[in-house]
This record gives sequence, C-alpha cells and structure tokens, in this order.
Amino acid sequence: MSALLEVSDLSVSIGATRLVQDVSFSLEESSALGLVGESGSGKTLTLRALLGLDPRGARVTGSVMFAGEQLVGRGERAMSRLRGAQLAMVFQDPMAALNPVQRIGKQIAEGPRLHLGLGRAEAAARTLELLAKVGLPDPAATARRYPHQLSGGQRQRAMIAIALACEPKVVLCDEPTTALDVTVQAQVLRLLHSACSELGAALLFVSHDLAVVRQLCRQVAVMYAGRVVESGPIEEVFGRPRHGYTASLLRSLPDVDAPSEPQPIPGEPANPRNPPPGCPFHPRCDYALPDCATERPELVEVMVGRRSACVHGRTGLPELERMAR
Amino acid sequence: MTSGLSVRDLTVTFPVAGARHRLTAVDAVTLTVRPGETHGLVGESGCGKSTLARSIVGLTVPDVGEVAIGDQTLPRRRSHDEQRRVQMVFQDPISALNPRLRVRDVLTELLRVHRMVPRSAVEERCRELVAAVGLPADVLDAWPGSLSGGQRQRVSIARALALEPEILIADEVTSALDVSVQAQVLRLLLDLQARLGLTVLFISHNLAVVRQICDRVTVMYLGRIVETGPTEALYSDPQHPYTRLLLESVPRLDRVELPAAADTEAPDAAHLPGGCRFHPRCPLAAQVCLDSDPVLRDGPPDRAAACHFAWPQRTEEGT
Repeated sequence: MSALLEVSDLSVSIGATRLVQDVSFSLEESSALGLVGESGSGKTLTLRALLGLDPRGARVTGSVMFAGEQLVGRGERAMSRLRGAQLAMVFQDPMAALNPVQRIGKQIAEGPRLHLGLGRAEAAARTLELLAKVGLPDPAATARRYPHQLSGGQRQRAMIAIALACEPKVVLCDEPTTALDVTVQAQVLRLLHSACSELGAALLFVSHDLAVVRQLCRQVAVMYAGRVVESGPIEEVFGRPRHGYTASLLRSLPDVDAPSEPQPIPGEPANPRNPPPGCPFHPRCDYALPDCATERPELVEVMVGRRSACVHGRTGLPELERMAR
Repeated sequence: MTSGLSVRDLTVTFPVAGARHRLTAVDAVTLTVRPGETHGLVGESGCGKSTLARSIVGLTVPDVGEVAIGDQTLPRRRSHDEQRRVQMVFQDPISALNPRLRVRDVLTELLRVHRMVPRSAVEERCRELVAAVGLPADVLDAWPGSLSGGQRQRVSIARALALEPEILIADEVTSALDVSVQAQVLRLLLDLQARLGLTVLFISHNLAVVRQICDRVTVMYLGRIVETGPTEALYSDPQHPYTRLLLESVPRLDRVELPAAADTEAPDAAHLPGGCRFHPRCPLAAQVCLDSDPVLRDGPPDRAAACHFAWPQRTEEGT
C-alpha cells in the first residue's frame, strides 16, 4: 500500500541558499509523524512548501505525492482547493492565524461552505457541532465572539475546529502548543489526538519539543540544517538514537522527574546560509570522526524502518567514554 | 558580599480599561530569597511573576509593600546606586538590546554613567565582561542584530553584570532559545553565581529547567504564592493541587499517554472566584475551599503551601 503523503527529495531555495535539502518522508493513512528540529532546521519551511505556502521567491523542487497526485508545481487555485479541505492546518499563533474582525462562527463555517458546498443553515449547524466537539463552552455564544474575546487555549481550539471542519485526510500542525501554558497545552494535545483518531486523519506535527512529539507521534524525522538526519519509529529513535545530533539533543533536555545538570551542545545551530563542510553537525558533535569534517553521510536505511545520515548510523553510536580516548 | 532579597506584602494593581475596579496582578506577596541562592519562581502566564520581578527592580511601582536587599529597604525612588544593586535579564534578547548600539557602546555607556571604573579602564572592563559570559572579544564590535540568540542573551547577562549587582533577576531568559543553547546559558548562570556570589531570582514557566538550577522554588497562581520550598522536596512531594497539576501537565519523553488534566483554564484575574482562587480547577475542592481563602501555611521545615488540605497528617498532629 502506498503512503497517503509521500515527500521525496523536497528542496526549497531562496536565492542561492538552499534552506531545505532533499527532505524525504512518508505519512501513512491515519498515522502520525513528528518533524523535529531547532530553529533554522527547515522544519517549518518544509511544511509550508508541501502546502504550497512557501514564501514568495522560493524555488521548490522534488516531489510531494498526496493521494496519488503531484503537488509540487501545482497552481495556486488547485492548491487552495486542497488546503482547508483535505489538507488542514493548525499554526502556532492562533491570534495571527484567525481573522481578528470576523466572528469565530463565520470563520469555521467558511470551509464547509466553500469546499463542501453547504448552505448557510447547514454550515451554521455544522459550526455548532464542531465548537462543541473541540470543547468550547456554550457553542452558540462562542460562535458569535471575535478571536480577541477568547483565551489563548480557546483560540487554539477554534483553530482546530476550523481544521476539522471539512474532515481532512491530513492535519498539518506547526508548533500548535508552543504559545500555550503547560496545563492548556496538555488539553490541546489531547484534543488534537482524539479528533484525528476519530476522523481517521493523519497528523504531520512540526515541533521543537521532543516530549510533545513523543506523546502524539509514532514516527519521527529529526532535521538539522535543512536536512533530515535521522528518522524511524519514535520509541527507537529516541530510545537508541543513531545520529550524533539526535543523541546530543536528547541529552540536552532537562528532566522534570529527577535532578540533572544542564548538558549543552557546544556552539550554535548551523547557519543554513553558510553550513559547515562535511556533516553539518560535526563541529558540535561529540561523536565526530576526522572524516566527518569533509564527507557528509547520506541519509540511508540503517535498519528496517530506520534511516540515519551519520557515520555511526549502521553500527550505532559508540560510548562517549570510548570516544574521549 | 552576598546579600539576600526580601519582598514584604507587595501588592501591584493595574487599572482595567472601561471598568471601575482594578486588576490585582500581585496580591500581598511575601518572598525571601536567601543570600547566594538561585530561587525559582514558576507559574503560568498572568500569574504575576513578571510583574513581581518588575517591582523588585523598580520598573513598576507597587501599591503597597517593600523590597529589601539584605536589611536595607529600598525607597520608592531609588538612587543610581540602589538601582545598580538589582539587575534584570529579560526574556527576549532581541528587544532588550538597542539595535543601534554596538555591544561595546552598550557596556561603555553603563560603566560610565554609573562610574563603575575609571575612564581609562572602561575598555579593559568591557573585555573582561564579554569574557566572563564566554564570548570572544570581537563581539564588542558587533551589532546585536548580527549575533545569534544565545550570544545576544549572553550580552544581556554581561550588561547586567557590568553594574556588579548583588541580585540578578532572570525573567524567562532561556524561553526564546533552542534547547541545546538553553543548556549553555543555564550553565553560564550557575557558573557566574558560584564565582560572583550572586543571588538569583530565576523566573520561568519551564519546570524541568527550574529543577536543574534552582535551590528553592516558589509557585504562583493568580497573583498569590501557593507553594514554596526546597526544590527537591517540592518536586518529589508537591502539596498544593496546582503544583501537582503543573507537574503532571509537563510532557515527558518516557511517557506515551497524554496527561489527563481537567479541561479548565485559569479564570480572568479581574474576576476572581471567592474562597480559594484555585477551587474551580481543583480536584480536591470541598465546601471549605468555597468559603475560606487559604493562607500560606508552614509545613515541614522551610516549606509552606496555601491549601486547606496541605500536609494533612501534620494538621492532625498539631490539633
């Protein structure tokens, strides 16, 4: 069976700078994939490019197959028929994504009216149903409100209602809970999870927060400096990473359940405009070998279902004490 | 010399647009930060932690209450020297630094205005300061815009250190940074504190980071302190249901299930519920919580919580 969304060798350049390079991953029906990385890793641009929302002047190459159709190179009109209907989005900042001068109800009804051809009354009924489903109190009253009259968590719930309105096949999220408080984040994550599984929608979840991704996704792709450096089933990738970056990133996370020391990765994330030669992570990598400074390992399958672009990918990462010698 | 910080009965209110009542952002808060400790202040947005920080440095004038360094109470209008003794590092290093001033100019201006060193020694002191925060000397010639987020935050810390403060208030200093860089800045803070004997109030919404670097922790909810105590004791045995809710809500790498918190949000600070202000969200809420507002009550040594049900065994022993 072929994947619902198959991204192969997707690259995005702006001017002479390649910000996303040869990104490949696939999303099966009703599954959940996390795309993780630090700022500048290209995760958001990847998401935008596959939706046809890449910034003006960007050049997108490669292939994005969605339900058997090629999306790269499609015109804006064709893409806008898919977006909001079969491919739904939830962004980080609901205040910026919602229209501040339109009532919540109208914004939710827009999709069903446009994409499903519902009449005014039908769309209004659907809106109330959706508002109740995402857990907003008093749907009829909330539908008449403006975004600024809702709390941050409620606005994100409204965004999710908009995303679900046309029963999409894929829900694409870009850091949807980063702006929220931790107690509200937990609620919104639960809502996203239950809504997607109820609909049978697949989830593509972009985040810098590895723990959040761990809770929602079964598969993960780790990005660094515009490339996927490691991918596979999330419990394996996080449990036994096979790329120096993944291992260091996991170690740098503070633990809320036990006392720990801050464990930084030295240096700064690679500048995509001027990436170092060889493996882009080598200047910061505790596991680097002399060759890493000159040769960049390709992302290859190192075990069934797991891919890594690390010199240690096939053998597994060595113990750090051994490396220090 | 290392001094402690104390805040006594501090209340800050703000006018509410189009309404007659005022919003109480910080409600009669009393807080002691001991000399040389890193004290974590945690809570969600709107709990008053940043307003409290701003009143400690003198950026917001409290309605009532006092701020003291050691045993000296700071007056409402602070002299240059009194301002110098408490310094703050802000969350967003982009907006905290003037984009039109090179790093050298930022530091030089401060050193001169406050007469920290003789004019002839200013350049040398600038070099010392950037070295102290782990940056190369050529950063002095850089514009803030050309630095990375982590470097900018280091410059903000150097700027705070330029005035040789006794108290450093760090307000969400790592929230805008990537995790790999966040750990670098945390290490720097720990290192500076040990070397300079600073007393640090570390404000954060990130409970894992607070556990890594703080000696003691205070939890705020809607303008009040709900729990305070030594970090390890508080994390391993939280007494206030809000502290528990916060800890349970943190997503964890080794846990697949999503936290099962109730679908409630903090009420509007301008319309607080009667009784305990946490009761609408509290799994333990009983009639007493609707009727009476719990005060911050001492528990085991060094700990306190504002909950009717904190340390139940102790209460029984006491009666």
